[in-house]
Amino acid sequence: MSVGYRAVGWNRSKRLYDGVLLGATLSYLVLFAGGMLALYPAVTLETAVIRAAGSCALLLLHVILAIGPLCRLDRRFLPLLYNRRHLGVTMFAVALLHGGFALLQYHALGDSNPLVSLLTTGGRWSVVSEWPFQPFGAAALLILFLMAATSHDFWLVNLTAPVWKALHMAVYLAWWLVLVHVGLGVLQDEVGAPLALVLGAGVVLLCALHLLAAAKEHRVDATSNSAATSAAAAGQGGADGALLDVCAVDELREGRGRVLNVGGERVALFRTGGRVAALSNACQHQNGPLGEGRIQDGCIVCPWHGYQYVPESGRSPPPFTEAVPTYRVTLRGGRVLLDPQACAPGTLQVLPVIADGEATGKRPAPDEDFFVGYLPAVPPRLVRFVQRAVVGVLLVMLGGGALLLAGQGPFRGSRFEFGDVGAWRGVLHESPQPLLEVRRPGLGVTDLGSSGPGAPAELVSRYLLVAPGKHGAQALCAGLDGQAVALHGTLVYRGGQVMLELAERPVPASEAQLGAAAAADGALVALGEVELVGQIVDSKCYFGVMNPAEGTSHRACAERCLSGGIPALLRVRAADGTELTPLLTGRDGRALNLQLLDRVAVPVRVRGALERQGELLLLRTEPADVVRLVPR
Amino acid sequence: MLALLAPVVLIVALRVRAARPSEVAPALTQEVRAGLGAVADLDGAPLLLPLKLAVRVSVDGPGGARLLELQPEEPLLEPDVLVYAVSKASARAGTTDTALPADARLLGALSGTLARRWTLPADANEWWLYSLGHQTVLAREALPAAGGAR
Repeated sequence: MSVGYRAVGWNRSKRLYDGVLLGATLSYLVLFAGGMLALYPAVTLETAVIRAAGSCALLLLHVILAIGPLCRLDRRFLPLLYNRRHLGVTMFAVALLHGGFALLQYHALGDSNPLVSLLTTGGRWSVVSEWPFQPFGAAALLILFLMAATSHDFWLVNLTAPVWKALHMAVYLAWWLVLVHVGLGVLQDEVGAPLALVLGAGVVLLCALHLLAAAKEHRVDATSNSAATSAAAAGQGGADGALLDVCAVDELREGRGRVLNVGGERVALFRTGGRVAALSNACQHQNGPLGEGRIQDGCIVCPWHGYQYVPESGRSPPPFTEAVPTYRVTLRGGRVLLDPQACAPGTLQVLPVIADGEATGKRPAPDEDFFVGYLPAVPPRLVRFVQRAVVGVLLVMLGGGALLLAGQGPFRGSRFEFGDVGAWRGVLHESPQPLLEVRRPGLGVTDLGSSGPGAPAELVSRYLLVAPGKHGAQALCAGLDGQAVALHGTLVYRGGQVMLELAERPVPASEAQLGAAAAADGALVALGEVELVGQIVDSKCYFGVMNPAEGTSHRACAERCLSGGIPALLRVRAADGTELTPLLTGRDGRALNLQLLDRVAVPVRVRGALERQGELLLLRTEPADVVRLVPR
Repeated sequence: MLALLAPVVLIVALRVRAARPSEVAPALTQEVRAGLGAVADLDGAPLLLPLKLAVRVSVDGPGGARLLELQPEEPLLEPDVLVYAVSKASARAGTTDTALPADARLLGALSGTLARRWTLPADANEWWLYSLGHQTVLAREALPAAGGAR
């Protein structure tokens, strides 16, 4: 607001700020997601969106947090600060996109409320390295939501400035939570260095900026404090005793302020209309540094958001009601003497007039660097600086995004033909997990082993069956064991393994329609007792519904899927990249899903009996023989 | 305070972080693969087809029978890829690119990047790849001469 009672509306500067912000954000999201789909064809759209939004929010958060210390180091960055709340709300919206998609992808459509699932899956609290990472992200998102929801000045007025400021300082807590979220999540699965590099650079940059800004302010405080203290010690306070000699009158420039540290409190000293005024340096709006402001329309204007105060009283001009503490000032012998005891906010002071003989005052330099967002025009010199700063920020975002994009993956080939429902016929088996045997066309000949005699080629393919969402097909297939059926389903496949997501319950079909399928039941081949090292994954996501579908970042989803009855697999990967994915069952053929939930997505060693039925591998084991390899 | 604490905490966390154990067990995997009837190594320099598949025909089968060895260089992103042997006569008999000849001989399936080997029928002139999931022919190639790699 200004003394002219102009509501802060949409002016050119604000429209430009928001235009650049929205354009850059949307461009980043499109470029990152498009880049992922182009560079990693196996990745799913949901993963591309989640990672585009996540990386964008992460970079934006760092930009937001860097603006504050940059403004303290160089006031020419202030135009970036003026609409920082728009940046914050945009960042929250992007983070919400990330969180919303993640909640939908990893926790929805299962056997539990997604929010309950969010807080109860994904790791163990007893081991630091296995702390679930998603609750940290959710907590950060909650803080960002509170900040975005209360970003309007309506809330500032109603919450009061101290409460509002304290709430919005929680952005640093949110930043910490985000770092933990990323550190315990995707950083655990990343094999490349880019993400760690970007995170580390962000932390170092922010910490360095804050330290530099703090050092600069400390120097200013120390200088003004020592001047005032030494003056007082030298008895320059004169007859008034408690008054401190803080500076010479001619050190003040007309229309400008100066910040003093008086007994640990910052005081803004202004020269206005040939008089000297002293007020608290902290603006009631957001603690902005009033002493770095200007006199405009007879009022002191805060450099951050343009809040105005009458120099004599420290009150905002009517109808506004903000008020800051004022200080008693006198002039003597060309020196400014200040009573260090602050008066109550809004206390009217009689401002001492600078006599002609006391000081002439310095002629103020052209004020080309001062800008408040509601002013119609930005000084040209400032425009050039801000343009360069914005280009710098965009380049940082682009570089960070490119680095993060290059560090994604690897994503192995898999596919879910979502929306493409086909008709299938075959023989359904309910055990060890629901599957459909589909007749292979042609005449069978001989399939040779590497050294042994040949075996007849399998005349059927076996497709695991699952229900929509994170549910197994047990209920849909109940009572159809061994029967010829017709069904509608969607293909999910990876590396020779095929699954069908059922659109509805299969219906019995005549065996005549299946040809020889019913008679082509392949025999189980025992491959002996083995000990395999790998990772327990849920078959539906792993075969193609999600990519990647393993590791820490997918752990919560795998737990949800196994809990819902999706068949559990042991993913075994050889040094050459070859994968085996035997189906995990109990020795007696029962499903082990619920007993393995605490060992999902971490390295495990499994001892069991391996069997083969065509392309399908089966590992019969017991929970006691599934041992975690994660260090405790 | 936060500025000082953050880098220290991160560096300490990185330093004390325990390495995750390797999930790779090559010896065991080889053992299992042998049990699956896979071929561990293919000799000869394979010629890659557009499908990135190494193909080799030898006469090492029983009684000098021809053997066909296939190994995908990368997993084929097609559902349920089956391998067939087809005689020239069958191949000419009015088949389309999407349908198998009625007397195509099923050899087996490809899975991941595992190498596979099959005995070829005496009259086979071509090998075909067929996706049962998509019910379409993926590739058809003349069989290379015995002993040659393509």
